[in-house]
Amino acid sequence: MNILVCISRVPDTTTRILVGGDGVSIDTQGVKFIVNPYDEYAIEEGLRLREKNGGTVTAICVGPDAAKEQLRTALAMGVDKAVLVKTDKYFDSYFAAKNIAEVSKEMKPDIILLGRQSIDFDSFQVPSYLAELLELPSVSVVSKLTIEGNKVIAERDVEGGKEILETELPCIISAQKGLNEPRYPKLPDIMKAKSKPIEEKQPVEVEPKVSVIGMEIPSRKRIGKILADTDADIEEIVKSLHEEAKII
Amino acid sequence: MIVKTDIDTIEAYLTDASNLKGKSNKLIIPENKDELKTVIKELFNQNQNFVISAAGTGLTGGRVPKDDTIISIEKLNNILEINPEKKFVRVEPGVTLNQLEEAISLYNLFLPPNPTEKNSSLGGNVVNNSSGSRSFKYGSIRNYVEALEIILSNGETFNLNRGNNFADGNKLSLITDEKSQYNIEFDEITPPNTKHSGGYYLKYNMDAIDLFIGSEGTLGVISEIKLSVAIIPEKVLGLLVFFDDEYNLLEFTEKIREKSLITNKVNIDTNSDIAARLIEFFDEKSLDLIRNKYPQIPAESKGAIWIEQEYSENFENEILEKWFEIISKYSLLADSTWVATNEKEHNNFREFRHQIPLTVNEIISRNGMRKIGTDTAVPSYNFREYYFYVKEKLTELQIDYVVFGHIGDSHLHANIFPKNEAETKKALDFYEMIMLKAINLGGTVSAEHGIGKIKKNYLKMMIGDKGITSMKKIKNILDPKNLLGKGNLFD
Ligand SMILES: Cc1cc2nc3c(=O)[nH]c(=O)nc-3n(C[C@H](O)[C@H](O)[C@H](O)COP(=O)(O)OP(=O)(O)OC[C@H]3O[C@@H](n4cnc5c(N)ncnc54)[C@H](O)[C@@H]3O)c2cc1C
Repeated sequence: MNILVCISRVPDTTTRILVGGDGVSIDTQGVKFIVNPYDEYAIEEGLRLREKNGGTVTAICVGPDAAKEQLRTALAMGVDKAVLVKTDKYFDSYFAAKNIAEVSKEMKPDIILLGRQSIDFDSFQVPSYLAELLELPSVSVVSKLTIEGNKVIAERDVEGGKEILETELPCIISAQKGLNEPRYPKLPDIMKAKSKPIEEKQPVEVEPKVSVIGMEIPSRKRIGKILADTDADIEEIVKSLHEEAKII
Repeated sequence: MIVKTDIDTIEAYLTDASNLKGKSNKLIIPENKDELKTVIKELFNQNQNFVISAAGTGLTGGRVPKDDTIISIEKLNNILEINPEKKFVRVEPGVTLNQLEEAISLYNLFLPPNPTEKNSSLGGNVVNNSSGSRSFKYGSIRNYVEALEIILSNGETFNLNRGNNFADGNKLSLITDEKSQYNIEFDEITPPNTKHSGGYYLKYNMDAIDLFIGSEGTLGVISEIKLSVAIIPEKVLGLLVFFDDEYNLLEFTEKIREKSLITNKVNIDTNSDIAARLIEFFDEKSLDLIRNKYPQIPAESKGAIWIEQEYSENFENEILEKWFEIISKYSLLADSTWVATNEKEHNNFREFRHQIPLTVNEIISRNGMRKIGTDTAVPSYNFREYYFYVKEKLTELQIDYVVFGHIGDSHLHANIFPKNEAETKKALDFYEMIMLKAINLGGTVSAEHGIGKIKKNYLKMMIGDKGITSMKKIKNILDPKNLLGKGNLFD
């Protein structure tokens, strides 16, 4: 089975984010980057499919040179090959999808796995763009995946229940939390990962469909108020529940 | 200055993490050092005994009042100076480990010993001589205390810098900022050959500052601390090694402990060998406790060891190979060894470690019982005997338990969770047996949590009447009215 997993390089969830001087990007100084957490489910699913069916797992990332670190993490988890489509500039979801699509056309994977969203811009767009560009079926936000021969059964959590969809390989699946429990990199895999190559590719330049015109840090509102059980404070509590929270 | 006498406010200050509960009818919260001094002087003049309360994470009832006035140093929580060139920080005593770590990490600095409870205060850490997971390489916080300001119970102040004031044999001479002189002649207490937090540090030719580190709030109030800090190493490797066999786990631990004691002395930039800065243990029951949160734990695991090593990127390949080689020798599960090389992965391992005490506490509160937990350590040459003794007694006990902890320092926490009073009683008997065994094997009844109010008997068993008398003599000189931290360490 020829498996392609797309990974994105995102700021660590614990990092404090500041807006850069240009007002349209983040200040990356001191920011630690990680593999997008939803992509870890995609990687794990790719590895499990390989363990069951044989084949190779390739990880692809569109991003700067520094994204090799995230590709190394994927290799350490057990991915066989890695491709970096190298670009230093800011790009939108279309650019990412277009470049993944170009590589996919050469590679012809049986399945493309992605995270349901990147936690940096949360656009949710790449899986659908990709499906459109490659004219492949796609199921998004999948929490259970079963593949028998060419038949693909994907489960999605919907309000109050499950939705079960059926499609065929080749297809595109975006992963939801719960799809699996991603493995920790293992010692022998880390050692092997060191000798696995990361192939670099030049990007196909396309006009962005979306551009950022401004970024702002939300103002920090005081959310807590400390009140006691004196009469004055009780009045104050009632007042703020009524006027501010509007729940009584 | 804030003064509280209403029961509801005071209530929160009557216990610590040990669940021991005390009594008090007055809480004073000074807002700066001058206020702290003023309060202490007033209490001295009124002959009113008082206890210092910090973050309340102590596990031995140290801050629990016995009809003392409570002085909470919570508002003395400013970081006064961070000096990246000379690698030190100056802080007020109420600064927490969390607060310090966040502030100094911006300068690529860290405090090496790493006690687990990040909400604890540095003042608390100093007077308890706290240690943590990295103490295997770096020792306890004592090694990092460069200077202390200490307010005595009469309100006078010592300013002590490490290296400036040594005892002449067993004679210490200390002068306060107010020019009062204290002459102390002490009887040496030989500490066990382990990590240790139990009673005053009294050694011939000692540095005066060491007397106050580990004094558990009985000799003076720490009002300012200067600590040395270290540069965060270029690279850290984390390994979680699973074992299919308990004996092999122990043998592996002994091998890497022995080796690391030597290699940890080599400069990281030139070291290509294994060198653990941290060696932590989880027994099978600890793993069972968290298996449903971590389904990735190999089913055959009979225990696990968590290791961290600081290294230089140049030697990454060699070091990884050496670890794999030695792990493969002792574990059939070597291929399943988890690895962490970046901050996120290290945090995963820390979280894994943290889940064990957390889950224990959940069970304890569900059972509505008290946790019985040991904090004993023994010299490494006696570790096996101690380990199998603990395991044997735990098996006989037939009450749920886990064993985990700082195996690099031959220091384990056995946590028992009784379900009823009868089981609690049995667990307490076990606790006493383990204490006695540790003493017999030349170990300590308190490796890091201190003695406080709940382990006094065991301290006495360990250092004898002579040791207690020796400590009381010093207490008498520095706090003659016996106002401060009454009932800690001794009666
Ligand atoms: C989950 C958990 C994990 C823990 N892990 C560790 C660990 O890894 N290593 C370890 O060593 N300990 C550990 N502890 C114990 C505890 O965190 C330490 O003993 C800590 O040093 C207590 O600090 P505190 O600020 O909470 O002090 P408190 O509990 O408020 O007080 C402790 C004692 O110190 C005295 N004191 C505090 N501040 C001063 C001061 N400025 N001057 C004079 N006396 C003072 C108090 O009077 C009291 O006797 C743990 C506790 C918990 C709950």
